[in-house]
Amino acid sequence: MTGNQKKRQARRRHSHAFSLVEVMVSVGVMGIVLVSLYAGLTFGFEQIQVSREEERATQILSEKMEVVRLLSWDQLVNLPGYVPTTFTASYAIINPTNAPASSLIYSGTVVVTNAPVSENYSNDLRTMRISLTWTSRGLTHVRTMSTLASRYGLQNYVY
Amino acid sequence: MFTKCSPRRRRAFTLVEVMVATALSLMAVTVMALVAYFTSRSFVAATNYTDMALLSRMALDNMSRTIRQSRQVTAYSTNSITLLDANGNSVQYTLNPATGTLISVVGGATNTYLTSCNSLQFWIYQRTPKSNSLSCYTPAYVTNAKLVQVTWSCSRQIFGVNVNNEIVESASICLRNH
Repeated sequence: MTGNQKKRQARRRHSHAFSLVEVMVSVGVMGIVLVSLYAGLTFGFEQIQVSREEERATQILSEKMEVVRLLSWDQLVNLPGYVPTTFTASYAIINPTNAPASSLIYSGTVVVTNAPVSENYSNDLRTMRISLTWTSRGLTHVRTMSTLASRYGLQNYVY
Repeated sequence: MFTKCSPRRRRAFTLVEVMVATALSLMAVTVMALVAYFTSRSFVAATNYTDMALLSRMALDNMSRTIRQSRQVTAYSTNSITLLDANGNSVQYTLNPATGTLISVVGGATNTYLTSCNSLQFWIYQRTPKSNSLSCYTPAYVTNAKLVQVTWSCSRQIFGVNVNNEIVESASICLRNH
């Protein structure tokens, strides 16, 4: 075997293995891909939980608004304190009166103000705004629902 | 002196090499299997959640429309309610806990309203709101009910295991026709 043949054979044998740099680069690339995949999945599933919390907030707001339909004009305007200014609600709704200690708690505020209209019937209208605030994963969320309440109403809910 | 190994001898693996390679392969396969299992389970859970949310929302919308137009509540228990609808027909919603099915009985015809329903509860309230509380009093008579609250939760099993994919619906519905 000549000297050149020995060198070629040695080079071929050498090329069958990976160098440390190649292995480190490939492991690094795989690591970045896996971490990105994991972070993406985690973010996606966290978003599902966020949507659950927001849906529950919408449920609470809708339920409170449904009770507003039953308030008379006097209860809404002329009886101070009849409409609460604050309230709390639980994320756990299967057993809301005995919710787990870890359950998310929503804090609500109720504001009744004059309606933003300038017509002569403005004194017969009120704006009712219900807001919910909750903190989840270090972020504070706020959702608000508002409606107009009319003194004489479109429909008489008092039977 | 000739000390170079023969090519045949160099191509073989030692017992230690084989054992190390087998152990590493087993670890890699186990990790991949676990990742595949938990990832697929999570995707199935997310898909179930979306699917159940859609079905629950449709069921709640239909039920809300019927209750809102109803004239009166005629019978009530925690997992069943019977109303007189806008046309004067009897409409009943009942949960079958054994099958997890919410059924509606309208004019004698039974329809499956919702499946995979773990729990369901109705509450009824009269029309007078409580002071300093956006809630109402419980009625003395069922027929005095003006407000109906309904809550249910649905969940499915994945690979025979309960996972956190339950969807919960809750609504208060005022009987406008009452």
